Amino acid sequence: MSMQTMQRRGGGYLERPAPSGLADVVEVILDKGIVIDAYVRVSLVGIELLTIDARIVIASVDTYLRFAEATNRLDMYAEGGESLPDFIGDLQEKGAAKKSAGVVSGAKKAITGGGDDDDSGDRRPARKSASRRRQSDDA
Amino acid sequence: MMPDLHAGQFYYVYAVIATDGIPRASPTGVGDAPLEFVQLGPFSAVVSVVGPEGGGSLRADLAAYTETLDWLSARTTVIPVAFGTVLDDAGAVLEYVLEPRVEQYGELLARLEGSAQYHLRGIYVRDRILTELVLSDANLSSLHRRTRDLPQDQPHPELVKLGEGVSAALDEQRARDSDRILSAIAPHVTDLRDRLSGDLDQVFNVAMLVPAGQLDAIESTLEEIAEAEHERLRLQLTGPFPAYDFVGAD
Repeated sequence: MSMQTMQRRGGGYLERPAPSGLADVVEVILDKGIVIDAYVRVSLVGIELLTIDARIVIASVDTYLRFAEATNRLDMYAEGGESLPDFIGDLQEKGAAKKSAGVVSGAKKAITGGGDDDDSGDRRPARKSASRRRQSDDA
Repeated sequence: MMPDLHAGQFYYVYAVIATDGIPRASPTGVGDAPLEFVQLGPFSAVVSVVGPEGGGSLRADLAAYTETLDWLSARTTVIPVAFGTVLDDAGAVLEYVLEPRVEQYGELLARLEGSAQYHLRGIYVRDRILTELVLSDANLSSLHRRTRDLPQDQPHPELVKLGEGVSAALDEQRARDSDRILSAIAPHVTDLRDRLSGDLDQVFNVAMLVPAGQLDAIESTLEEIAEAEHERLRLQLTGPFPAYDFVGAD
């Protein structure tokens, strides 16, 4: 298998940072890979699985206050600012993209090969999505 | 089968690969021990001997693990085993790593062959997106006007309401932006998984399984989007990585 080289393009708007540092490495492998049952694994001092408790953060009053604070720190109505409709006019969504639970669920319909998230063995017939939507408003 | 280990020695397990993909030369793994291969027919587990005292520091072990996986990935198709997996001996590797998943490994290797994992992250320009949300919603705008001069750290009911509203609006905006951007690259990827997220500024954080020939198309599609929307969001593409996100439970 031939891996592509890390830096393919120089400038441009798409950022291509090379992972560096411990935090990046941990972020890449955290909770990933085939997991072997804990009771058959050997626990050695200093060797441990890196796992996290990925509980959903319950929205609390504190969380909302953070949002409010971030919002109200902005000076959106400053004198002489851009006119509001101009400011957001070009940002309005054109396509009627529907809301989806996980962010990937909508996009998955357009994936090639009808792959789904089932890697447990039995292959369900690939649902061919008739409409491969391409709704980027490339300007 | 491997020769028996000495007492107090164990196998650190890195990955499963096809037996006919076992590389000739091998680097060292955790604790500088040479890589070994426990075979079961067409599949082999990549392991190295580790003593009772473990490898080195966590930092050194992490580096050795990821370097080993990267090294293997550059040479053959790799199914990563979770960092920190240590088993008693070759018998345990056969019994708990290879035998229970023989059928799964064949399919996985076929699916991963020639592909690599990339991570794509979308990050909002915070002030811009918040402004967008508040200005495009009459209710949020009026809440903002009414609360902007209140002390911002007190749980005034209207402040909480504003935060709640902004948070909900941001969720919807996220869903729309994610769907639009990810749909644009979806034709070029084999699979897509959510990665850990939760940052206020984050649009999405996904792992993509990318066939070797598709990277250029993905990069140019993303470049177009990143350029068109750079005032409101940034796109970050990293990789290639071994397919860590596409071998375990979703």
